[in-house]
Amino acid sequence: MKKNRLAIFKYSCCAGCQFQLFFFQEHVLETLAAVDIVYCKMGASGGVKEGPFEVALIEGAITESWQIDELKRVREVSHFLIPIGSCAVNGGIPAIKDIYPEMEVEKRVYQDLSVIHSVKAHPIDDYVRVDGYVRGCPMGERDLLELLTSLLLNTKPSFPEYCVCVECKLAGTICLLMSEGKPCMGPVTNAGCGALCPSHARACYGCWGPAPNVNAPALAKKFEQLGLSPDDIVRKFTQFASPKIEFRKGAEMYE
Amino acid sequence: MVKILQKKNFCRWIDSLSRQYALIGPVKEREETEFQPLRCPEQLEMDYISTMAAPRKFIYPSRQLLFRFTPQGDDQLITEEILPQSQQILLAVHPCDAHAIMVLDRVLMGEFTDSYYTKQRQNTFLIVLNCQKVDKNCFCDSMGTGPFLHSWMGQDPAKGCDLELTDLGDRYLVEFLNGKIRKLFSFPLETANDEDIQLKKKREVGIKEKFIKKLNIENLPSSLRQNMDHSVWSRIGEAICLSCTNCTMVCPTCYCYNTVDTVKLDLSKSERYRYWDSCQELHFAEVHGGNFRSTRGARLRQFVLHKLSYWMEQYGCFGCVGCGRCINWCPTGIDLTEIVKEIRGTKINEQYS
Ligand code: SF4
Ligand code: SF4
Ligand code: SF4
Ligand code: SF4
Ligand code: SF4
Repeated sequence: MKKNRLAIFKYSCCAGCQFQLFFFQEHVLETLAAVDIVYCKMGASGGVKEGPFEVALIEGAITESWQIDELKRVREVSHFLIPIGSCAVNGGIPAIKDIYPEMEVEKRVYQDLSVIHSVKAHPIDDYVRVDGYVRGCPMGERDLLELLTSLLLNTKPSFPEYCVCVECKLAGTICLLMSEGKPCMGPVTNAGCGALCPSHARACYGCWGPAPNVNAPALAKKFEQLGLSPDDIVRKFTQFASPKIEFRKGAEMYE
Repeated sequence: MVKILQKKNFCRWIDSLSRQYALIGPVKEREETEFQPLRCPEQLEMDYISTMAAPRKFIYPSRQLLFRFTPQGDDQLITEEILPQSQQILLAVHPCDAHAIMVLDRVLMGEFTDSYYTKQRQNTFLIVLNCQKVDKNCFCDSMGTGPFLHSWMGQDPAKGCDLELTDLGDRYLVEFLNGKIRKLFSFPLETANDEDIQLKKKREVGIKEKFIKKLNIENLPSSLRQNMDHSVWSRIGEAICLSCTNCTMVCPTCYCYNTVDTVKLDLSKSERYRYWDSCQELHFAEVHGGNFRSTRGARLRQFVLHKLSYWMEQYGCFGCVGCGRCINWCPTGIDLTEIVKEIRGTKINEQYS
């Protein structure tokens, strides 16, 4: 059987999602047997970055113009193009800066701004059409496995597209929001992590980004009732997915 | 057969239960009480009011492996069905939850038989504990499912439950609803007298006066049907509801599920699971082009109308037993009894105006 050619491109991020592939626990050998990883900067030097690829995985947010050019080229030569991890899917941590004027952010870090050419952080689907999302921060193992097996079976991958509360309830975890008044982002955050944080008595931080069609303003109002300050509420909704309209709506009322 | 169990002997009585069965009952967990497998009878929280997860999860698990399948040659599959094996006794189930299980029996062991549910249900004994406390969101009294165990809408406790306990202060009234469960206990009990039976009746009258939450069920299925376009749906649905599914996940009668297959990367083996699904989710009932209930309001209406209206046509009873969980665990406090009041044009609480 001809193996699928897979490439991983990295933009602005911590590279944790690529590493997630190498730490793919029990599946790492099976993955190598199932696909040909032809380009993966963090795993091996060199590689073939020209394509064509059956699947291109994109990690990181777009924050520089060369990334946009490359991304468009990769789109043209890839059958499937999938953003992996919150930075690529939602803008992620790099997009925390998006709610401030760009220059103010730069000034906080650099003295000489003449060498800085970055723009606001954008998710991948702001620039190119994508064929699905492997969400997570870092990307979720189960979703990655689902992607790879559906690639092999030529089926449509089924990723969870509902909120963390679903997984939280399936796990039988007592609701932190209702039982202990902890400001949990679960009702608006896309599932896939298995409600990891609530199962350790921590309110969800929202790291997987928004689920489709969520009602962030209603949850923001709930946070206000719990006594969160407007600043805290804004931070909740801009920490992992500030470019996403679903979360922006929660932050907007308190900005 | 009606007996008396002194409370000081309670743990010994439970301990005398046949070891063949897993014991499951209300146990303290963090700030709540939840149904859990028991390590010892002392763990039982017999004073509990309600739990987050309904006891249904021990008969109809939230996630369940149904079968494995292995491809053999070009066009053959070897399947191995995984039927639940455990034998269990559910202890101190309140009447609303007991009726909810009997509602699930109608759904999953009625016209259509769910073999996984049926197998587990047939290996489950139900010990009901009549309520002695009422929470602000309990309305079983309005629905008719509680606070004490009685027949309800064609559901006979003598058929669906095994034992009924009533707290009489220093002792329990123990009513065996069939002979099978009696044989599982080896601890001897005293015979109850008339006074005990009278006291049970008195306690029931007393607790029925304590209900704060009420729901007028007269003509409810049809009056809801006539108000499909009422403004309450879009107002609450769009402004307040999160579509978070918590209401349906905690509801003791919800039965919807979705199935997923997991495949090994070398494609040698697959497993099919099912997990609780919810009509509050956008993907539920999705067909080509999307979900007909694309707005939150339409999905909220599906939940409320299924429980209080459509269920009656489908199964001849309400799908709501008045346990109050969907109200207790809704992050934004959506309350189906307030929605009904608004539709009926009666005075509603401020939060809903
Ligand atoms: S703890 Fe958070 S994720 Fe879990 S049910 Fe409550 S709100 Fe949802
Ligand atoms: S519970 Fe929330 S913050 Fe925690 S891993 Fe899941 S999505 Fe991320
Ligand atoms: S009614 Fe409440 S619990 Fe149900 S989906 Fe809406 S917000 Fe969530
Ligand atoms: S609809 Fe609400 S009150 Fe009625 S049985 Fe379900 S969870 Fe309980
Ligand atoms: S349709 Fe909704 S309310 Fe009805 S049983 Fe299914 S999940 Fe519960």
